[in-house]
Amino acid sequence: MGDGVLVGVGWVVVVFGVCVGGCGGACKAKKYAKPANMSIATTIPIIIPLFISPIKLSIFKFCLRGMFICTGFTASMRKTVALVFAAWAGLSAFFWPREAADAVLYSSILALAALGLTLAYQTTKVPNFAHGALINVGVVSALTVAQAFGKPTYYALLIGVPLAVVSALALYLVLLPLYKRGTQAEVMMMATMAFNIVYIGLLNAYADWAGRSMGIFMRGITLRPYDVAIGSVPGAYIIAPATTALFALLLYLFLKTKVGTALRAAVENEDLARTLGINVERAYAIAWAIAGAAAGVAGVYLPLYIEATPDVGWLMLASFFAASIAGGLGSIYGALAGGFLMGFVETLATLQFATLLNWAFGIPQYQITAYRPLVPLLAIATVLLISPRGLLGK
Amino acid sequence: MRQVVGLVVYLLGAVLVAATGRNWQSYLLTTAVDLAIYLAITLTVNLEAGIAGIPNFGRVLTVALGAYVAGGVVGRLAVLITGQSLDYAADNPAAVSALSRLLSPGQAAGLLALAFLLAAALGAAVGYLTSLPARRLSADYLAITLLAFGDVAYYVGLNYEPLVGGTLGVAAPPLYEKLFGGGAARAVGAAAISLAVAMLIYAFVEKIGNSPFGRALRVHREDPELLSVLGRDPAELRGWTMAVGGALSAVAGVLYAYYVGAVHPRGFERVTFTFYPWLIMILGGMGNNLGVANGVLIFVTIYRLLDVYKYEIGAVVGFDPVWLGYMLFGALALAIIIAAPRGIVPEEAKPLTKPSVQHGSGAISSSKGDAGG
Repeated sequence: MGDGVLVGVGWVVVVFGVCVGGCGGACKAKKYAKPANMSIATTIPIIIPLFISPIKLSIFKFCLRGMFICTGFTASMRKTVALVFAAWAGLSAFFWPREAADAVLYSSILALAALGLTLAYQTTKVPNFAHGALINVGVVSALTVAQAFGKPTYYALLIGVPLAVVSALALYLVLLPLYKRGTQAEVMMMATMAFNIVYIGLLNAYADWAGRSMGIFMRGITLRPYDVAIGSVPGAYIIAPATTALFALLLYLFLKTKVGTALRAAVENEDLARTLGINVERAYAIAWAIAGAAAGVAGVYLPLYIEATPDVGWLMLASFFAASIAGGLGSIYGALAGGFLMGFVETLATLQFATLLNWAFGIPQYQITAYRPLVPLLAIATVLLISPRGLLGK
Repeated sequence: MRQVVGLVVYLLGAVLVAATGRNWQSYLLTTAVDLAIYLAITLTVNLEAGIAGIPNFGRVLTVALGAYVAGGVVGRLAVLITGQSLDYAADNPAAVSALSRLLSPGQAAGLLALAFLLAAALGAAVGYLTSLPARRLSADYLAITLLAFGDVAYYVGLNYEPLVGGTLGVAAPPLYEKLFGGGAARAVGAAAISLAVAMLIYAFVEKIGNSPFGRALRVHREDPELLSVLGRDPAELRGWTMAVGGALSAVAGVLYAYYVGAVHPRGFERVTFTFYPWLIMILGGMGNNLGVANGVLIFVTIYRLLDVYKYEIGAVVGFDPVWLGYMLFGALALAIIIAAPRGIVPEEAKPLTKPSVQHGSGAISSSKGDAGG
């Protein structure tokens, strides 16, 4: 009962925080008197009257309109979103420590996956529907290594990451001639989907074979027993976020090097980069290799969180895209933020929403949490309605 | 020759089946229904993606919707008109056995027609609704959104049990059995109805494609802004196109549900009803309905031959031939996209504007498709 009230309040705060952000956008877009600096401090006085019922409806209507009119988030509004999110995540961690830890683990994986997706999108400008396949390569490697050698899952990084990099480069080599030919976007997407289907076939065939001849099972298997313990905590809860942070740091440092600068130049303006003598194809190949590596790492860690199958990446594709879009497909650091945002929304918010409905209407929680796969697609639709270039995109 | 290559492949497949001593009558009947259903679905994909340039990677949504209507809604109506007090999803076996006793052939025919109408209406509504994000999104974002929408029917159907029984699914009301009887007669009847509906859809889509509306769609594919110059609202045009596509694909979903005789939400996943239709379209030639027909013939031949010889193939390759099918179809799609991007029967380029000076007089009609729009 007490939980329900808290969750209700928390939810209203988050939802209206976003709405108010939207209002700010509307004000800016329509040149109304605009709020000088929308920060959490200015948001709270706006939120409190929302609980007084007579004005609630009209304000809600205005907020909704604001959300739909607003065309982009300014830096200060992004800050508001970040602050509201941080406050919510902090509160949740206090009341749901276990679920919050799970959310951090899932978010780390999601952030890596979204990072790879965004990076690949930036180069060849095609949403990579085969990103799930690259993740599956990592998943299958982890399942194989852990079960065949009885070692902790992390050893699979040695196989899974190179395999995912090779797969990503193979896909890049398929896409490159199409990209150069100026093929329509939908045909390029279809090509990535076809590549993905080939991989689903290959990995499932391998899973059949491994199950029969090596006794390695790959359908509905979790690798939590093959985790290391750090103190009394399963290692994944610490190692996965640390890996994501390290990956982001390395990527940041790489982008400062000469090769990284060339890559950024190629992404920024391909023709201009070419005239400066930058080998654009090679720069893109490096980006795809990094994307593959990120996907490989994410894939290896995934069975530590859920029960994996050889096509789990394909089933979770909407989640990856939601994270990537929330980060605004144009920014790789946005993808990291988007990964954490969507990771928390998908796990914690779904749970809290279910708790709220359970408290308010007595609906059993599992009936709501079963719809968790719909959360990413709702998020995609909402984010794109609020801001067609993504929540954190420029 | 190119126009009949699909037919040749299909006949060769049938000859192979007959020559190896399999039941070729059953093969022909099964493939006839497959052909009809995939033809109908792919024609709608072709209308949206091939002709109008809307990248609908969520085709499975409206197909599943049609099947749900055929099972969940029409099933309940059938229970209602026969005066039963059973819940169609919860007491499915009892309801279906009561229906096969009580339903008259006339009622069955009426319910079948009603199923088509309802599915078309709902499919049109959902198709129009899913076009709304298209008002503001560019092609790539739209494709992602539609891909994500495509899963809605799958997850809702799986989790919301009153709809079509959740993970267990429901048996479809026995309409074909009541209309045609059991056994071979049912198969022949199902094939006849499916093919007739598919032919109607073909004629309809072909007519749309050659109408002023169809020409506007082709302009939209090349450049949506050009359309607004011509005084047409691109968003409205997309809405109508996706409504038509949604309605027709939902009808195909009804055909599928009654042919299979059951509605299992788990069956409505992206590969079967989004990837395969896209593959067929790319294979046959985007923007060309005749190409789609050829693509369907080739696809169904491979698909069914893999099924007919699954034990032999499984013994050779050592894994479930389903995965071999995935590899083959994926590789086929890649090969076509890379080597013959215009497909087996390329769309005949009809110049929308007067030939420009640089191209010279004769060259424009052949250069359009290669440039890639």
